[in-house]
Amino acid sequence: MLKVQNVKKSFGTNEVLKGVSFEVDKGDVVAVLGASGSGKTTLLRCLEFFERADSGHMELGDLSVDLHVHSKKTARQIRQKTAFVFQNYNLFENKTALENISLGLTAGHGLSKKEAEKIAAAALERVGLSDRADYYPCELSGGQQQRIGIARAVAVNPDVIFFDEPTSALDPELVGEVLDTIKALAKEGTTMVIITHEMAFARDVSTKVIYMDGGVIVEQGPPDVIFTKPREERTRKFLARFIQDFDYVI
Amino acid sequence: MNIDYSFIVSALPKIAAFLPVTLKLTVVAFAVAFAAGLLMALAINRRIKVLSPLCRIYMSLIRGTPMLLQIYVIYNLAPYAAAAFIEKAGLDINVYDIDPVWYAYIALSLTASVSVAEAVRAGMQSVHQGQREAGLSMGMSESAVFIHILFPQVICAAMPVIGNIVVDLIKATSLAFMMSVTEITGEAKILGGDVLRYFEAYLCVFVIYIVVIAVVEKMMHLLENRMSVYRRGVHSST
Repeated sequence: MLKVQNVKKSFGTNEVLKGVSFEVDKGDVVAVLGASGSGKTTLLRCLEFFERADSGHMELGDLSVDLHVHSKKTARQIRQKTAFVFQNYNLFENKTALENISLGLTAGHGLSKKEAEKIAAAALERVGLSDRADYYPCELSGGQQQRIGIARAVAVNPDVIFFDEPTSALDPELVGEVLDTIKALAKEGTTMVIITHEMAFARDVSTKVIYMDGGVIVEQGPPDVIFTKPREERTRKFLARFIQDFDYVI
Repeated sequence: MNIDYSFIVSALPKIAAFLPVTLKLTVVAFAVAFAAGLLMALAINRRIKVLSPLCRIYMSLIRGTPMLLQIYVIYNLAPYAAAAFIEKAGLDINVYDIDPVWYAYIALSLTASVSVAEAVRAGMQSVHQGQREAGLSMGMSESAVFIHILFPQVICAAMPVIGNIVVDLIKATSLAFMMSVTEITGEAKILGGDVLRYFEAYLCVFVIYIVVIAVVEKMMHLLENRMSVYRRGVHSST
């Protein structure tokens, strides 16, 4: 359903992505792992057209687009079929929780205000925050903000949701509620690509794991293979650093 | 010093009668300055070719010259420019029939537009880039993102400075009398000059300015509070 081919991106002389290709099927939950600076975030940002890739190609459903040369219109078409959950939530500060969700539906997808509010209310309910509908982001905890960020993404019924380290900016005690929300989505068959450092979570919910290092995909495969018998030495070393974490989380 | 109180009592309403002129100058000049300032801030912020450096040059030019000088230049040059334009366009207008208030609008909005541009630019810088990206990721167009998300936040951040610009503008309207537009200061000068009671006449305008500006400041403050509700929240629990 989503096919990404040979994405390259440099910032100045720093080559961040050296030709990354992967595929995502409908219902897949892809966990993207890798140390900081391995190019994970840049990859997702290229796919959402926040960065212009130097080269690369992307197919999403029946849309096919060059990641370097594209019109604003095609970029918008892709964005209308995807959603993005940010590391620092990026809720619209001047909008209430409900408006944060409904604005994408009205201004982004052309729904009527009434329909949008109905869907937004349902999305809020789904993340368990119906009682916070008229709260502004500044009145909400990080965990609540991120759950609304997720509700906002889910509400537009996208083909795929990109998560850029959704729990990295959260206080430790708030990570759980956000991970639970994402887990629930995974159970319902939502297609997601998730950059995360939560290894236990990745092993738990993903159907496919991608390990990136130095701007390339070192290894990809099902979680039970990657986590138990990775082929590559680099993957093994990376995971070894997190083994102790498992003991705490599980 | 003997003060003629009866003159004050009779002059105050006569001077206050010109308050609408002062307010009209303020409102029109601000409207022009706000639109122009916003466009300049956008041009500079988005680094639009040619336009962006032109805006910067214009801003340095206006900021680098006294308003009084700008008024002299406009009042002496604008009629020639207008006459040339009228002739070229083949219009049947006598350049001497043009109300000088139009020149005043131009002169007053010059400085204010530069201030608005700077205020808006600072406001733009205070809004996190993630707000725009979040809007785009929801499938919104750039203009929809600007209208619904960025603009309200930019203006909210710029409000305190914009309030100052309005107050400065009200005071600057007193210079319109240089262009033979009679507003409150001009009228005070005329009335005072008639009977050589300048001090009393100026005392009247003094009071009028203080009252008007106090009211405007209060209004701007209320507006600012209203616009920044999202920054404080509406629920006391947090």
